[in-house]
Amino acid sequence: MTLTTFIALSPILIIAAGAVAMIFVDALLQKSGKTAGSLFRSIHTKGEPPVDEISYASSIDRALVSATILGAAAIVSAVLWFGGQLGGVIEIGGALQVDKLALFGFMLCALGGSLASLMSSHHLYEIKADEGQFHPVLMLATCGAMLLCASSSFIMFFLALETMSLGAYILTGMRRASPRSTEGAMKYFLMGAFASAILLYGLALLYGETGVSSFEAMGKGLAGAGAKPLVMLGGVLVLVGLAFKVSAVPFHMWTPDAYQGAPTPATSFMAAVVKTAAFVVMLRFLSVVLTGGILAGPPFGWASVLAVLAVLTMFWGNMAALKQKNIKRMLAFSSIAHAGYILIGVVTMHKAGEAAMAGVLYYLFAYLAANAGAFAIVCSAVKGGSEATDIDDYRGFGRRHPLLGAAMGIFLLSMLGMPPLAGFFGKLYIFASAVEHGLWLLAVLGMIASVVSAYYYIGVIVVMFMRESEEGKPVAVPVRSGQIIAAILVALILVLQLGLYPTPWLR
Amino acid sequence: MTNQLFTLIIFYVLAAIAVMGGVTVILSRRPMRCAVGLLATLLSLAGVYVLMHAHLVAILQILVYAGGITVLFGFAIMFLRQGGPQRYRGPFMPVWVISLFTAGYLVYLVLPVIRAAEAVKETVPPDYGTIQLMGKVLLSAQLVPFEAVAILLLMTMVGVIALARRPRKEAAS
Repeated sequence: MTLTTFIALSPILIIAAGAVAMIFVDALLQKSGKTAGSLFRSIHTKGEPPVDEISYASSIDRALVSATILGAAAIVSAVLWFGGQLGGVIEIGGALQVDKLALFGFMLCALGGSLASLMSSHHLYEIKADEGQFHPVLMLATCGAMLLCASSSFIMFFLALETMSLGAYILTGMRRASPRSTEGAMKYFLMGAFASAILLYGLALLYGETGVSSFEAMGKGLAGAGAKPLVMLGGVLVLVGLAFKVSAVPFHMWTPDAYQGAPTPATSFMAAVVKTAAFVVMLRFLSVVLTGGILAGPPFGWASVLAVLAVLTMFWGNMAALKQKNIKRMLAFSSIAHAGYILIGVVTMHKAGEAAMAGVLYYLFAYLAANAGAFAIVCSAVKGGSEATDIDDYRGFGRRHPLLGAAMGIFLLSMLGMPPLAGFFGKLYIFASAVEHGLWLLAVLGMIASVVSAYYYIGVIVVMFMRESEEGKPVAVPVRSGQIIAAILVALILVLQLGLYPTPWLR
Repeated sequence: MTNQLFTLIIFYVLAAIAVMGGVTVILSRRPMRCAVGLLATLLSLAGVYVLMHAHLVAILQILVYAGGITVLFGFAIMFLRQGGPQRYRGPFMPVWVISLFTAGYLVYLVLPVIRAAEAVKETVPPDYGTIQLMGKVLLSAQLVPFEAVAILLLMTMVGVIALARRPRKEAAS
């Protein structure tokens, strides 16, 4: 292991080592009845049943420690990405490939994990889901997501995908007292297992055709093979598996239940990290393995398949989101719709190559920031001791708490694509690039879908600022937690910075 | 020649058992019979792996699937069973239609693949599929995935502990 390899992998190593250390230290501390940092115990909660001091404090400390480790990894990856010290592409053992794409994926995954940890501080205690297992699982699953971003052979690809997915299933089911959580985890796990098996079958067929397992070599082998039935079938099966992970319609059935049932930080993790990593590996797979003209372009290549999926996903997601009464479920359908917009960018890649890839990555970044922010606010709002997830709970929320209300408004408007926020430029790059390469129909459909989405995004803002809460009903009150505020602030800064001054990220 | 014929006969016997086991799993309405059918399928597949010189896979198949997973199924069925076998009551017709359509479409996709398949010409090296070779590959060519499995295993262990513990009541719900 040379120094360069070590540096290239350092974000993953930091998180893995941190997770292991957390498991051990936590076990020792629990035994002696202490918490990691009594320094940070200034967080105050109101009107609760008697607080179990130690378990509350250790819950907060765990969140902070894991957020710090993940944040450090995000910063290291950002430095490597910006600085380009690594000098191009680093191959590691024929299984991993750390390049610009992978480093950007590292950064997004670690950032998403870090924000999810930050917002988990109070929430996990509240739902009694934290006995020291949540954060290690979150961190190791993030490691899996990062390995997925860098994987360049089929074996690593599948292994990393499973690491990430198993982590997501576990996190979904962590809310043990809630049957919804178990239901969501069960659905997610069963369907995910089928999707993984289908993907693996596809990989096996492609391996059978070429006899090699590295992406590069397989791409070369397939370019010579042309559109054989075996290759087409293998490619379609792999696409099905990936479409499941990004929750594209019609492989989205698990999404609403899993998003609603999971503890909110885990939902944020699924929406941000899992989706990002799946899209990054999809970009790599499509641009390296299935590159041949027949395999990529119309009428039978992946571009046509994904174009159909993109349209279905955008419209189905947005239409279904219109009817939702639960804010987590609404955000779940909105995340499905976003997968549709991103798929347009992926489709454009078969003509535009690298340029379209940049648009997709930018969109993922903008989506991650806005989504994590929105979930952080959902996490912060409690209603009579339990979390406030009905949209009606937020009546008057914006008037009573103008700053939080304004932040939520900004996140929702960014997801809608309002200039000058991050989401606007994300959509602009993706649609503009699609039009430029003659895919104007897709771009027009995408814009129509965005207009539909205005109804439910703005609907929440209207409820927050213009509706009075009903007499006698408990209203959503924000928890006073420095960590959740920090998560909201980070997300807010990113949304504004990506929108107002996107230049540094556009390379 | 007799050797080959012998192999072929064994293969067909094993394949027949595997198919019969699979059909049992789908058609039987008693969970325990399904589990036994699954066991038969898994064991005969292990035999097929041996015929294909994949000894390690065959052993793993018996240890993990036949040994571990089927036993687990048996336990789960015996713990959960209350009363007699239950019939599935649900939207049966549409499910049948959709399944048949999907299965038909899959056959339509797979058939050309099978037709186009060529007979395998290459012979495998003598140590192919042996445990020694697998060990060498795992510690050389596939070292990185081999190491990365550690992350998966650790995470799964922690996760299982979290999911298997007794649920505590949530504060206010």
